[in-house]
Amino acid sequence: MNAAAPVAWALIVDDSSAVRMWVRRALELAGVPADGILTASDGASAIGRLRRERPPLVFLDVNMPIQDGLETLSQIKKDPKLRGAKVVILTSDGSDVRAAVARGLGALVLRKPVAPEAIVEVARSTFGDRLVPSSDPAAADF
Amino acid sequence: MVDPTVEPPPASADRVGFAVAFSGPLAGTVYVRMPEVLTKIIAGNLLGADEPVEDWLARDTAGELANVICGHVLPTLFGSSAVFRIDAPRGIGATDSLGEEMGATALAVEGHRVEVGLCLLREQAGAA
Repeated sequence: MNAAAPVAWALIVDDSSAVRMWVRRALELAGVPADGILTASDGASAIGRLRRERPPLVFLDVNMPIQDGLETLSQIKKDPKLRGAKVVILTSDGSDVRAAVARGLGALVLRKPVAPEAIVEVARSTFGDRLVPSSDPAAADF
Repeated sequence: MVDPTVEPPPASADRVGFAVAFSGPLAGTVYVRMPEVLTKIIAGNLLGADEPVEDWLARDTAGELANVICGHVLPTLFGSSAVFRIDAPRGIGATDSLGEEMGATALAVEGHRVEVGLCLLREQAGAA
């Protein structure tokens, strides 16, 4: 791995365990090290993890308990130490209004169901040649 | 896989249900019912699991499926400029009252029957 590779690579924030596991698997297939993938189940705990571990990539659900994704995105972009993170909104919400708000705050918006190829592409565009080729046979599909 | 040309089989006794409540220009619920075994098939496919998926994870996946369906149904019916609050999915029983049923359909998915429906709060159903 390149010496500049981050310790914490990505944070997945979703109240659904299944979604967290699914995005994790896609990131691992892309070549993100498993121990560099963090998770949180709500926006408030996500902010805590971001401040402590500073992953450069964040996948953020919109509808979550305690603090929703748009409020969390707003907090990220207002914080000078966090605003450099690439934020990808993963949402089933079909509202153009919320999507426009998220894009206005600098996030990429992907509407669920999201193809794993889209997650892999985000990882590749974020990490480039720092990714570690996965030995999982399923990685050959990408 | 969904095959619209296949007649859905009859409802099985072991079916489970998940509902997602929404509020905004109108308030109601989108629900999904399916056999419990199908929740495990869907979760296994989604997660690429080699081992059988645990019950809680299969139910979480089915709840997320209900969430995704709700997120697609609302803009289709009410337009993508309408803003709704969408609650977290919850499990429902076979006889739970979800409001006035406005529409429902049944699909064959992997050979199992899946029912999807939209209910509105009773006081809003007449206005819809």
